[in-house]
Amino acid sequence: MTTVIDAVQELPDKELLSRHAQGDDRAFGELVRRHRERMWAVAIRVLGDSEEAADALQDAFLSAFRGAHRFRGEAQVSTWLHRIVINACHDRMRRKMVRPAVPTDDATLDVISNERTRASTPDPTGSSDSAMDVHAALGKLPEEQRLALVLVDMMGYRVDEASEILEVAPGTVKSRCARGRARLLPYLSHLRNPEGPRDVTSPRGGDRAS
Amino acid sequence: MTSHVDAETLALSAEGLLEDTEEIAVQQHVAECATCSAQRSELADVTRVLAEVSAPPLPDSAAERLDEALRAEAEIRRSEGGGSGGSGGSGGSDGSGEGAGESGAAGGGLPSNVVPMRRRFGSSNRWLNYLAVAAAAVVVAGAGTAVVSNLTGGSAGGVHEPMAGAPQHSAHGDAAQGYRSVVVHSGTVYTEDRLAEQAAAVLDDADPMASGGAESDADGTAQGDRPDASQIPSDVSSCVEGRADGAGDPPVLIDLARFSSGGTQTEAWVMYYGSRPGDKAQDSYDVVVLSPDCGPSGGKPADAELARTTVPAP
Repeated sequence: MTTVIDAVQELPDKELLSRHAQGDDRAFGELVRRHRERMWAVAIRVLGDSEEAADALQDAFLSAFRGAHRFRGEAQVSTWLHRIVINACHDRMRRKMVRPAVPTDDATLDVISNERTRASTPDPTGSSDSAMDVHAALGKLPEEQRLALVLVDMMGYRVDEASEILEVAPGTVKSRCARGRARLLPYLSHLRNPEGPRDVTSPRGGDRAS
Repeated sequence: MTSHVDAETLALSAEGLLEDTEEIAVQQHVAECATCSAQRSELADVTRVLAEVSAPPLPDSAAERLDEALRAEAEIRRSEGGGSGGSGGSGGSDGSGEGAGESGAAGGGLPSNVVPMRRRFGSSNRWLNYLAVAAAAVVVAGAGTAVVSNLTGGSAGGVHEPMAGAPQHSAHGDAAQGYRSVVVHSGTVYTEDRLAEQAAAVLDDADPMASGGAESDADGTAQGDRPDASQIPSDVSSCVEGRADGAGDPPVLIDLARFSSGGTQTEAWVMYYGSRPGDKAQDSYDVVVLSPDCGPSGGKPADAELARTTVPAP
């Protein structure tokens, strides 16, 4: 019962996943193409570091590849993938935390800045300073608040979508967001108020000097 | 109302999460207080600032690396499906595993059929049914419990050898396991003071599946699928194995949760140890709260212990 493979691009996610589970080699590739940018966007926002995010993305898709048969049809494939990506990010964060020389608080800014300097591709958005500040600030939050804010405030997902991804009640998502925002307030006030005092702890603007 | 409203209360208010009386008091205060009113709009700006952060696009190098990794994985899958997959019939139960609500690949018996190895053992049907019950039980547990997973531990003395011929697959880590622990995310934030009470509540909700798992294990039919195992950190299984030290029994239930102490919350793995499945009726559980240091990072399992207690079985 070899199935005739229609153009995979035409198929819905669930069908692709099911074909992948049946051994269709092309199906998963199409799923990856569809979802990787979005999953990357989640991972980079959660982790704030390109290398880590790329690793998490790879962990996640490999995990999805191997675990496709465990997908149960009641969720959207995209929701399922989000969960896997978030789990992969969670694992990365935890591993980082367990490592001995963990930079904390203000040192985080320097680390992020250094990693950006090393990175081969400069941030084309030009908004790197505030992005760095936001990532450093998010790093000060408990993970569950960070995840909720990444999904709701940064990615713009509805509370019920985030609730499904995080597998907690909508009210829990709301309160995590609320508490997270309150905690971020002191760290981000300079961003909404540009002439305010900036807490400059790392050299800026030097990374593109030629 | 004279004192200012703290930022968190303002944020909760903005989400409509305060009790009516408190909400009214907050509104009244903010209406008259420039400071709090300003803070409230700053809070709204936090959302705006977060939304404005743009993420860099996926770097080409990362995309290529991803494709490469998936190509390699597909290669492995092909070789397993064709080669070692020849033993796929050893359990004689592929057929029963099919149609159990999964993506249903097994029946055809095509050479390229890529039924995961772990599905060869025992009746997947039964295992899935059990999981469905377990999932229902956990969802009822309320706040944030949803993920039900199943952790395969290392071989703990081969207590329940799945079936003859299984060890040949042990290289895949999916077979010859002596036990399974049920893994839940109960969403509980454990504290030392309330540990017994919290553990009892988690057990209360989880016990049906814990004992269900034990029964299935006892007659060796639960060795089928391993749902969501990819979502279980390998650190957790290392921890379990490290603690068992090859001799002790694995936990019946593992709750991937949090532990709060001295105002700090950390991740915690809460292990519920019971007597060996099938021995006798369970009358109590030892509950041990472990920090993730218990993983493979070199920490000694004993150092990772945050709290422990014993609770009666529900």
